[in-house]
Amino acid sequence: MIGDKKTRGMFVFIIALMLVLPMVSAGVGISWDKESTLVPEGTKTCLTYKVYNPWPTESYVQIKLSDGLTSLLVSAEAETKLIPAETSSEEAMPITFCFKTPTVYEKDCALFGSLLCKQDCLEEMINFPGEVEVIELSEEEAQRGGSGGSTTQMSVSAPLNIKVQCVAHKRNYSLVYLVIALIAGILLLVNILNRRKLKEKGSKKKIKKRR
Amino acid sequence: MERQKGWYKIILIAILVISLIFLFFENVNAITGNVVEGSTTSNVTIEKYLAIAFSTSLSQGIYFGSVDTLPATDINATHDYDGASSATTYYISVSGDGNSQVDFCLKANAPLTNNATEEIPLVGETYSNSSSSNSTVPVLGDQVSMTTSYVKSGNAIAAGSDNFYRFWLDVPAIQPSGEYNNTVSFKGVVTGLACTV
Repeated sequence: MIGDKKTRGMFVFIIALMLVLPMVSAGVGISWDKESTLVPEGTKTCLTYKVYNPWPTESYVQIKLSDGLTSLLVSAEAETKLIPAETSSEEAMPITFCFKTPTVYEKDCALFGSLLCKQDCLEEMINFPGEVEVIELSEEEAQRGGSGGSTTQMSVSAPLNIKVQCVAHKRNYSLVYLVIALIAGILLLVNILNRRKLKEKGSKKKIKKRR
Repeated sequence: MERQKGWYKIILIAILVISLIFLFFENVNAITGNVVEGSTTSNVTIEKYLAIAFSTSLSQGIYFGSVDTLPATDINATHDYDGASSATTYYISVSGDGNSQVDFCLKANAPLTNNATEEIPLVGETYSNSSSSNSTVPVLGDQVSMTTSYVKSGNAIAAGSDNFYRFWLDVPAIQPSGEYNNTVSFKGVVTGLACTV
């Protein structure tokens, strides 16, 4: 009878221990509502992703962009982020990235290769396909080693396709008109000033002759 | 002479005025406003979310213990059979707090390598996966060699389910003694998407 009680007690203790001790390690989750974005070339845009961890252990995560997108990255929030345990998808923590799209479409410039340019946008739209990856940084990683074998790493990813929009425009002659107007204005000013000087000289000579 | 100067002045004024007029018309599109139209907006946001976690055994790493006899084939990883009914305790859980089925991608960063940069061929580090586990499943016969680029392993794992793994190692007869290490990465992606874009 006593043995039975002891066995039952042990059984209850083991069950309780199994319930208390997590069977899984810290985890990582990602939430997103955008898989592609259309950005005019040469402009900056920001995207927000959310990370969460519905597991009972807090985790540290690192955000990484795939190779095709890292060249566009302007700024990203702190690289390593702590996600508290039991963070549901509804409480997911936002992480923002900012991109600046490069100038990728060829312009037809009439002067010095960079002035009086027009853009016809006849080329196909250029895409930068890639992904946003959230990697879990395990605390155990540092403690491992020394026994031979494979350490493990986990991540989740969301696809991201950045489409660069070509903005068509005609050749803009504003600069030429501005320069011509400026030259004409300066010459006019010089002309007016010269006339004034001549008038002043002429009136001084007249006064001298009168004296 | 005076008359010539007068003409010169008039021409300059004309050039100035004409240039300014042209400048205005060149930029007139940027200055004028757009026609206002009546409209209403229609909008929908599609959100996807998924979360994964390693089992305690998998988070601790995949270790094959000490190998005393070479060559050795299909050496079991330490937790391949230590679960209930000899099931594996290597698994990845997909959280129920997710709205997407998950495919898993797996890769090794390099072959198992020792301090002297000697390597155990990666073709000898193998795995098999299944959506359930017992003493025979995941099956040894389904083993696949690891590669250094991501390859799909588990497919369409539903939210709230697990993906079970077993790992094995082959060590050639001529393998120098030593401690060999590498890193195995698991990545969760929405079902149907490629492992690397």
